[in-house]
Amino acid sequence: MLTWLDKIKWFVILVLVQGVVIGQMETSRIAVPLIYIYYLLKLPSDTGRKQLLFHAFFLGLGVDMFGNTPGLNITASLWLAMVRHQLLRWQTARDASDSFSPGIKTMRVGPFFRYIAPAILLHSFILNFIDAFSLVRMYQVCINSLADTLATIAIVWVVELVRRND
Amino acid sequence: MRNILDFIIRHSHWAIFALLQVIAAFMLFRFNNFQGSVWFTSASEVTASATEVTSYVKRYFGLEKMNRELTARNISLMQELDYYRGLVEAANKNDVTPMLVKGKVNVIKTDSTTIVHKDAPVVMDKSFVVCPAKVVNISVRRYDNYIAIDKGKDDGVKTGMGVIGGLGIVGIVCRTSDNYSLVLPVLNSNSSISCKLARTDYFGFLKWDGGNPLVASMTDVPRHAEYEIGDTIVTSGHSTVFIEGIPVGTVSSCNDSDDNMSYTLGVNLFTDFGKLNDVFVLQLPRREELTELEKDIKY
Repeated sequence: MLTWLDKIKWFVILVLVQGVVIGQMETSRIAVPLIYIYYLLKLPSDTGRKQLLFHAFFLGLGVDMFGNTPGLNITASLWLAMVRHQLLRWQTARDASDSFSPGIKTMRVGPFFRYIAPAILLHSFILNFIDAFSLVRMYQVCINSLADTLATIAIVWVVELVRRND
Repeated sequence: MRNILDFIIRHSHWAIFALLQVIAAFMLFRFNNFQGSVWFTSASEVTASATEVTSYVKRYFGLEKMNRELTARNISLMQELDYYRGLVEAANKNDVTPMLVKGKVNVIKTDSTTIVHKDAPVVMDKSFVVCPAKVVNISVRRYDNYIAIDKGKDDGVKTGMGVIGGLGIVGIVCRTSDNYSLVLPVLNSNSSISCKLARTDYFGFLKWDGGNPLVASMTDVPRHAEYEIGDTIVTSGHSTVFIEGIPVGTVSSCNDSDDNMSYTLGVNLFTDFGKLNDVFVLQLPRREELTELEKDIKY
């Protein structure tokens, strides 16, 4: 189970990786992995919705500060925080009352994939849509969202596999 | 009652979600130029119809003041007419021909000597005017103000066209939709319009640093420039947006620039943006040709 210290550590690491490392790659755009949302996806299953919203707000704010895009990542992260509870509920037994941190180890491969894929797709679509902010470029928004989703899922998967073997 | 309270508490996360989204939206539209301007244009489209009605009412109540201004303008034009008549009479007596050349009255003497009367006002060529327009939304209290007008692409308005009011310069069209356009006025920190002192022809740039909407500043005026408080400032014509000689304001003060290399003149603007209702959209002939020619040049 994640302690407060673990949460702070993951928060800082993921925001820094997203803002400093991945943020610099965005100019040559093929697919931009949105690795920072791994923090939201991994928060314990019993995290309250309100608590989750505040986590999402400050996570988005952290990434926005590095990218000089105030409000962009916050908006997308808040939507992800809102749907996370329901997505997690669909992939776990309803009477499971014990708290767990979502992952391949705790949920198994299939349910974990079905949990992260729509969550990441929703997040990247909202992010790309607000970035383009136009219905005219919808085709490009969809292509970018899909590319970002695949890149993010791939990285989340690799991190999960590495952590499972730890 | 208890059930209602329970319901509200159970769903309070929706309220928090809405509140945080409002904060995010504020940051998005306030600090991101692109999203902010798109939002402003879209919002203008939606609210334009409503504000148009409001502006009709406001205009009705402002007619008295407008009439006074029109009367004053009429008197001024009659005086100008008298001046030109006197010029023609004097020219006839002295056997010379008065004529308009490049917007200024010139007197061509029979021996081909030309005398340019610099005080003569510029005559606006009607072929420059794309269309008259009404202001449907305007802000003057922000640092970056915008004006929405009721003419758009369907009326021939394009991005980069100049906009003037009855008393002087207003701004430049920065975005257009089918029926509306957004004008970047002088009262915007991003605005920079080339202008000059009408009496001595020294150039500078008209800028606005926020604060009083009646006062702007003319920067980069050379230190050897001759000026007097009260001198008239007009557009220089060194752009593809405005022709030379459109009234801007009068010199109200003078300060050294930050680097002490030039003067920054205070300018009392002729246009009162607080009661701006009617404007004209202008286009210089062959503007696109010149823009195309200058496209690849970096100064």
